Amino acid sequence: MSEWQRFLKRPDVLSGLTLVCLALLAWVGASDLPIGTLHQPGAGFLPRHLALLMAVLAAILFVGGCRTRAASVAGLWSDRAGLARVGGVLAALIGYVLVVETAGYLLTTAALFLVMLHWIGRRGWAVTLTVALLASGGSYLLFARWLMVSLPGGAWAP
Amino acid sequence: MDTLQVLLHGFAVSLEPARVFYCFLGTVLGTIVGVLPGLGPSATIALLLPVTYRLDTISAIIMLAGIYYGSQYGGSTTAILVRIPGESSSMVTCFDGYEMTRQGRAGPALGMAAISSFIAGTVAVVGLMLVAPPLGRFALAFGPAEYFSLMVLGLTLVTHLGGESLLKALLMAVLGLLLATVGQDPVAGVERYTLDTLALRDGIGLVPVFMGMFGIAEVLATMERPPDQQRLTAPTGLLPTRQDWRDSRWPIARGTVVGFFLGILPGGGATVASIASYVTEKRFARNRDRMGQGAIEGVAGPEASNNAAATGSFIPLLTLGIPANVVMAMMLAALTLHGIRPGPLLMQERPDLFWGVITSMYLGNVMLLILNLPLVGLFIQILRIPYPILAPLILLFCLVGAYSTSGQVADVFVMVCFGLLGYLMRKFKFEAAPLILALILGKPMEESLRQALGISQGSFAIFITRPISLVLLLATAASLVAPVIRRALHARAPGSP
Repeated sequence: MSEWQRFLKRPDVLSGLTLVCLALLAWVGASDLPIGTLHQPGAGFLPRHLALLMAVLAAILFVGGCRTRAASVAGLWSDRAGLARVGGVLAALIGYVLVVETAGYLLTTAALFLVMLHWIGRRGWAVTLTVALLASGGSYLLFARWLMVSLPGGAWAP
Repeated sequence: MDTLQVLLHGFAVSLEPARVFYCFLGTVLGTIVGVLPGLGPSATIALLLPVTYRLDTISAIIMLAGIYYGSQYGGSTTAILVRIPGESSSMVTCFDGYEMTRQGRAGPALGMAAISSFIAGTVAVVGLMLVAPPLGRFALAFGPAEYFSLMVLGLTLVTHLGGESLLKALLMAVLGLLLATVGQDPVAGVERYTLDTLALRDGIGLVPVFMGMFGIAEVLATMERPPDQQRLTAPTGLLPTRQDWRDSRWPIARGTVVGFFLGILPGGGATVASIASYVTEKRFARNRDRMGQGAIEGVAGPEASNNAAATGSFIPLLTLGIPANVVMAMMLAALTLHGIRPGPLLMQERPDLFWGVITSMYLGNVMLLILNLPLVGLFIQILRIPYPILAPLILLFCLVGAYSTSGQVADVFVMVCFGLLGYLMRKFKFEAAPLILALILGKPMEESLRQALGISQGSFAIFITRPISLVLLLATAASLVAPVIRRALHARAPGSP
């Protein structure tokens, strides 16, 4: 790894740089909005000033990060297995979001429990299936039936 | 009529069996919606409005009021046990409450949350009785300039929550304000950062952000640990110890005062009050160095404050007819539905309603204490569930909470994104609280700024020529300068490194 790559992986350098980029994006996103006058500020007045302020603060963080020697961000994720579990949970959640409207609440929730309990939590099939069925069915009864919360019924729902 | 007489009259009204029942029903419902994320008191009151039409006016208002202050009790339960704030006002309870849970002290945390809520709620009712009219008039002195200055002060105070880096806290506050500009501009209705999607037109929902940054981020952080380190410490002791009491006395007193006064200000409400109380405790608490690491002061103060604020917010509604927040707007709708117009004359025209509702709050607070304390033992059993089983249950709670706010999957996606953001922020040592408070205050802050500049013809002098605004801005400046001076003095002190 080059010196430059190692430098970019310092936590404050990386977060400062990311936030500067985010501030620039916010500035560009607000550039079409009317800024108005001081008497009558427009829709772009606050976003542009906030983007500018954020860029300045993030630049200070970046410069501060450059000056101090700190360990690489790689040190923040030293446990590979732990990182895999985090990735697994995130993938399961994103999958849930993508599928829930088509497959419906009951089926998707049961699937989420299967993934979380069996593959990520390393539980046996008996525990996994029991908890998955009880949790999806019980929560459906609690929220949809008793509390009348509208939950996605799925593509086949009337 | 003197105070004692009106109080007795009020109790005579609220102690009628049917009203005691509706008070109980309201507090139970409030506790339930407080525990369940996504189902807030405003949504519950909105759902129940048509039902209350069949009830007599006093019973209806007593029940709806019970839902509001009951939700403040319930909101802390999930915040303490699984780091999901049931209500936005319980957000800061997560910091020390959840740390106490990790240390096996969930029982004392839940017990103190209930007891401090009870004390503050009861004291605030006394305040409501004694000083309602003059305080209501004081709230009227707040114009756009004062609100803007108050919110600037609130944001500045919250940057002290994290402690480690003021720069990172300020960055998060600015990011929160930027995120608050997503959606339709509050004055002209122009769309900003909506990416042409319908889901973002109303802005970023607060509930998905809470669920993500607290609930999802916590699950991700815990799942990262090796399985043998995931289990939460087995709870020991159900109620606060004598030392807990000693440590909590002043935080409860300070939280009650702060919450009561912030509650009467429109836009203030229980969330801002609980944050203000937490910041106060970081300054004044006996164990202020332990704040954020499981100090009971971090539970007692904010929980007292949000309950006092919930009661205080009834002042502008009952005495001036002005709702201080969304829940009070619902209450105004309920009163209007029953043909009642709240305002300065309500106390004279309908003393039975005014004092009946106020005295019912005494009863409600007693009921909530009796209801909540025995539940402590039941709630902490949740912690005995192995984490691999508890984790998907927490996720499920968050998913339903985020979805139920708007019925759109987009909100669930927003929650997952904020969960990842919250997890990364922990890794990079950024605090979530400044971002969230800025997101809450962003829209009203922009509205106040633009209104104030409109009134002053574009002159920023309006913020320093109005006395209340000037005082608030001076307090803001003091809160920013004080840590710098303290650090300089500390550096000069003999023996310091």
